[in-house]
Amino acid sequence: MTESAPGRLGHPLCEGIVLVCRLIVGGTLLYASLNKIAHPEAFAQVVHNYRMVPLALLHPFALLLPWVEAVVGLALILGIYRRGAALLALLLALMFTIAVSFALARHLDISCGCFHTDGGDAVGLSLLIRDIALVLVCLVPLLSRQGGWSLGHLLRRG
Amino acid sequence: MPDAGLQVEVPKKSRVIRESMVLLGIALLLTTVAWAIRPNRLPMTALSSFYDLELPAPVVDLDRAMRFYAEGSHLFVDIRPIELGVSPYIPGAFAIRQNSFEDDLLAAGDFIYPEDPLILYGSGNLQEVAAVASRFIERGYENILIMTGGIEAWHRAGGPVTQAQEEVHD
Repeated sequence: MTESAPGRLGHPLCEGIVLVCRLIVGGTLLYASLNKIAHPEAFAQVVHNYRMVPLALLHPFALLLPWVEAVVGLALILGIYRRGAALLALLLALMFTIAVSFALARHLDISCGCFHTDGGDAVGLSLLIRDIALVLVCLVPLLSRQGGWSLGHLLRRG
Repeated sequence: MPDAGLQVEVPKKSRVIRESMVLLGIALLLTTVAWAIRPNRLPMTALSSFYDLELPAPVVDLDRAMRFYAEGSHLFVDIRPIELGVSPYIPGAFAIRQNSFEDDLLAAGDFIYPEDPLILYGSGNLQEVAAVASRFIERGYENILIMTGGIEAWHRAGGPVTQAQEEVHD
């Protein structure tokens, strides 16, 4: 299977769909990363509440995850390394889905910490559905031949 | 005219992995730089004594706390270190904050007695609530419960909140 030739765009509707999916996922991840980067101590507590990350890895995990979200989010928004970014976004979304599922199964009454480290959405079924939807949206930029309009396209035209 | 359908293809694995590794490497670099330049950086090692907090009082979940609120059987205490009226409060709650504990408790002395059942809540950080609960216990208050989730979770679960300053005793 081959990629579309660099600089060549596909049907506008398909390019638009891929672009919208990239912006949804990228925008969500980028926005979600901001508060966590600003408040790593609070985010570490949020991660600990899920009781899934070993204590020895808690702080490195809490420090790294928000920056992965930010870089992946920005890459998707700009259309840089689209498939690599989409793969990482998919893995992140799967991780969130698994974490919420475990929390629900163990009846943990905790805040999800998705966008805010001080309160925010409580872990619940609606959150799980939202994460599953995010997983599905990630598949579009990962598997689509069309890349959606991107910074690369703009630069090549220039 | 290009095909109007959304075309799916299985991408080359090596290329996708390479792109992912580059992005992860950039994220790792940014994490390292941000951590290094931060004045009060988070230590690499998490202390179990900090995270495996032994709470000085029993916890109460939101459902039970709301039931107690509806029955009027417990007094609610807001321990958040913020000014009154800035954030939503549970109606009728007393503001007794950690950094002004003695003054706040003195001011509420006509309303809160050591034998009264109290429910303490904050912004969701159990450590902060536990710290204030410990101070209550040291002062002879024995009937303390710590509400999990905090004010945001209470609000989202449908618990009543108010913005009005006069609803919060101080």
